[in-house]
Amino acid sequence: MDFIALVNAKWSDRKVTVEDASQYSGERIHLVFENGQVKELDPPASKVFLGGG
Amino acid sequence: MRRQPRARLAGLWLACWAAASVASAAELTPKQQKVLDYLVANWGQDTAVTGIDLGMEIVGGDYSPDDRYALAAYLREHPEVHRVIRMFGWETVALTPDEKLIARQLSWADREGRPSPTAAELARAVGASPQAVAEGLQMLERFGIIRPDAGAGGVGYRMAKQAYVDWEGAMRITFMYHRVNVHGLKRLDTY
Repeated sequence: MDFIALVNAKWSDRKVTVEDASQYSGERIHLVFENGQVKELDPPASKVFLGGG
Repeated sequence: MRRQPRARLAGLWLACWAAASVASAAELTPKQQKVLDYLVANWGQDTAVTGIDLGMEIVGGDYSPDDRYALAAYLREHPEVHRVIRMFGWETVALTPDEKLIARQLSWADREGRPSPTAAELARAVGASPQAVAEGLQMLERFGIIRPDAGAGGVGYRMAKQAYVDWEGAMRITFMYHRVNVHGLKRLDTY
């Protein structure tokens, strides 16, 4: 279970901030999740893979 | 016949000296042990691969880069400590996010046969101050992840091992991070 699944399930009632970096450019990415949804994304053009099946 | 006992004695002495050297390099202070205890208790919970630097922040107290180095060296020599180390490598928890991004840039340049980036290029690419870049390079060299190379151009470093050039792949997160803050609950690095 990866952390995105945790954001959607176990932590869905929490605000979750993620500091990350693009796998391809190394550019820093800042995300904020609330209620399992992306509320903030910087830079805005970042693509976030939210999993699925 | 007379040479054999001396040779055996010399061999025994060398083995004892080598064992003592490894043991002394791997000893942790009580303060460092506290961080290790925290990390070992938390690694693997909720996909945590929490870095030593974040562990030191969470445990609290006056920790230095030397403390981080000592903990990383210990984990390098003791992968039996936790499955996270055996799966992802000691480097994954040893490096800060800045250091991982610096290492990525150097690794890509190395793989693509380009000159190493300059300090200014690294600061821009990584989004860090020139001082943070300089400190990051120093630590990466100290860990043996990069090596000085006068012919590299730029900051004058190349990756120290081919494994650090070809680090990407399934379950290989050496120079990656997801630093997560679950507000009011916990902070952790995840995979």
